[in-house]
Amino acid sequence: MIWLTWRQHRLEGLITALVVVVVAGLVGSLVVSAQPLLEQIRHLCPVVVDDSCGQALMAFNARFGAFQQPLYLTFLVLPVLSGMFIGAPLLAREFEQGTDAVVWTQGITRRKWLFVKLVILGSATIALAGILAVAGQEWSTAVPDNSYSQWFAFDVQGPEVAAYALFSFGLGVAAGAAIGRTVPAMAVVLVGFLAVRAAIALFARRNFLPPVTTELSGPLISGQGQAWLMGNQQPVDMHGNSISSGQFDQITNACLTSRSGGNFDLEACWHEHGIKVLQTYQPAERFPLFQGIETLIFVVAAIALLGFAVWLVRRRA
Amino acid sequence: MNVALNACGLGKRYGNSWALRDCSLRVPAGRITGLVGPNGAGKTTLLRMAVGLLGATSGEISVFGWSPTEDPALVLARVGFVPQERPLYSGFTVGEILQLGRHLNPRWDQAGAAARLKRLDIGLNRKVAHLSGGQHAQVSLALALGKRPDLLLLDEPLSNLDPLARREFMKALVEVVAAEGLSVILSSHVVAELERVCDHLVILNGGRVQVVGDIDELVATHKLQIAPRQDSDVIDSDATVIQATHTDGQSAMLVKVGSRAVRPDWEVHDVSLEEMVLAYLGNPAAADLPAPVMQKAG
Repeated sequence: MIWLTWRQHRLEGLITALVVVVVAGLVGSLVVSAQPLLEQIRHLCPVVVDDSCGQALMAFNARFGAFQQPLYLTFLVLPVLSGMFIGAPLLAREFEQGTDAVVWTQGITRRKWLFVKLVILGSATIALAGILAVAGQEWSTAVPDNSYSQWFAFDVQGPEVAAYALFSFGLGVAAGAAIGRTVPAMAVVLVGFLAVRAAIALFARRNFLPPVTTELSGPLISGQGQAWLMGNQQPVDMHGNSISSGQFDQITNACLTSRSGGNFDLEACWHEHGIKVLQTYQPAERFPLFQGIETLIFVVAAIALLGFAVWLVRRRA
Repeated sequence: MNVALNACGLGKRYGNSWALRDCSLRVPAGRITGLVGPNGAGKTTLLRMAVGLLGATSGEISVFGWSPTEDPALVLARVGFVPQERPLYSGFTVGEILQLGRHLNPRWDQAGAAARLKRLDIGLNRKVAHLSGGQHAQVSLALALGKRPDLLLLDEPLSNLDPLARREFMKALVEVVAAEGLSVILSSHVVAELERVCDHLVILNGGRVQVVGDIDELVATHKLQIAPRQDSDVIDSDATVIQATHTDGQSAMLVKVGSRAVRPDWEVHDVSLEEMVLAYLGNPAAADLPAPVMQKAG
């Protein structure tokens, strides 16, 4: 069975592996070549955000900022491969060519045949995604906090990368089992995977836990790089009723013109005028928890899809 | 009688139509059984049920006493199957097809399978996609035989083969049956193909079993009678009329003869297997079945 699995999926498997290794290699070389600049930033910036720190950050962004977006997109799209090229043909190609009648009538039950294939190919998918996750992790920890929020790199690191790939694989197997034709099943993976990923990333993730609303203050502002700020800042009066932006601008201008040098405290001035500013956000420390929730969602969906495929195969009679 | 395959009240329904209905039959072991019937008669359905690819809607089927769906491992270990159209992985080489058999079958006979293909001059490094129809069929047969089955099921094995390839295929089949004494059930809608190799016959028509029996016996008990014009299909003897053709002066009746002799004043001719089968297929209401055996074998 191991031999047969290898023989049937080696081409797609090797190509997928090659793509993953190349991407991981590119990310690795980026991290390495960024090291001198990163060293400089680490050295200069934590002390005080001054001109030399700012220049180093700008230099970093000039050289490596352009990679950020394409890298993110690549990581978004790569897990589709496991579903399209390994998951979708797993059953669909057998049904298409009628070879299910051959392979299911050898001296091995179709249940065992399917089980071994799913375990081997599912494990390979997780392993390849693991390589990607490590590469993504390397990149996102290397990038200086000052320039990007950790939430920006939420999707490119950690266990959810493997969960995405497993979900894609499960979607491919289930679509192949239900449709029975390879190309339509591949299309279902492409559309379905991206749609589910986008829906969760754009709409569901922000509500994994109710966001926190707190008064905008020094610690939150300086921790901006780590918290996930949501929506605009809301000026309100001390009872929490929102105030018009004209009123807010007026007060802020009054505060700024009356500033008397030294340690000027804008918040204290706002308080004196009976207003405060609220910010809604997901705290930085929820990052690992959110990664866990996201992973769980995709792993459960993958298991459900694979279970559906197993049920279809057993029922196929 | 050792039973290879036993079906009892077996039925398979797709939506509102029955592909196979109330099918009861016993196929003896050690024989080559021909399964004939027009397209859509239920031959493929019966064979796929025997190997567990399809489940029954009603009734039971057993192979050497085991249910193909409840004990698939026990049945699969003993049954070789060549599906209709003889699908194979087209990207594989012939050697890889044998390797597949070796990896998936505990009793695999690698030497035998390789020798069989070598005799036919089919190189193991040939790509399946590049084989001729006859060679492709031979590789399918080699895969099914390599697992050393006790029962071999062939679904329309000769379709789309040229006459020479058909003869080669049948020759290979007869040789292995003679050497190893395995049971074979092969389906076909062309009777002439079966006559030379089969010794047992099952006629399926419209999802029902019409005839089950030894070919020698069937041919011996069916006669063509030429008689003066009969107005009724009931004739004055204990023969059953399967098919009657009336012309102005006389009636030709293909009959199943009973224990008493047919009327001596009528002309009696022997019939070929093909004539007999066609007569039954033309008259779906007629049947020639042994007394039903309801107990489960094994």
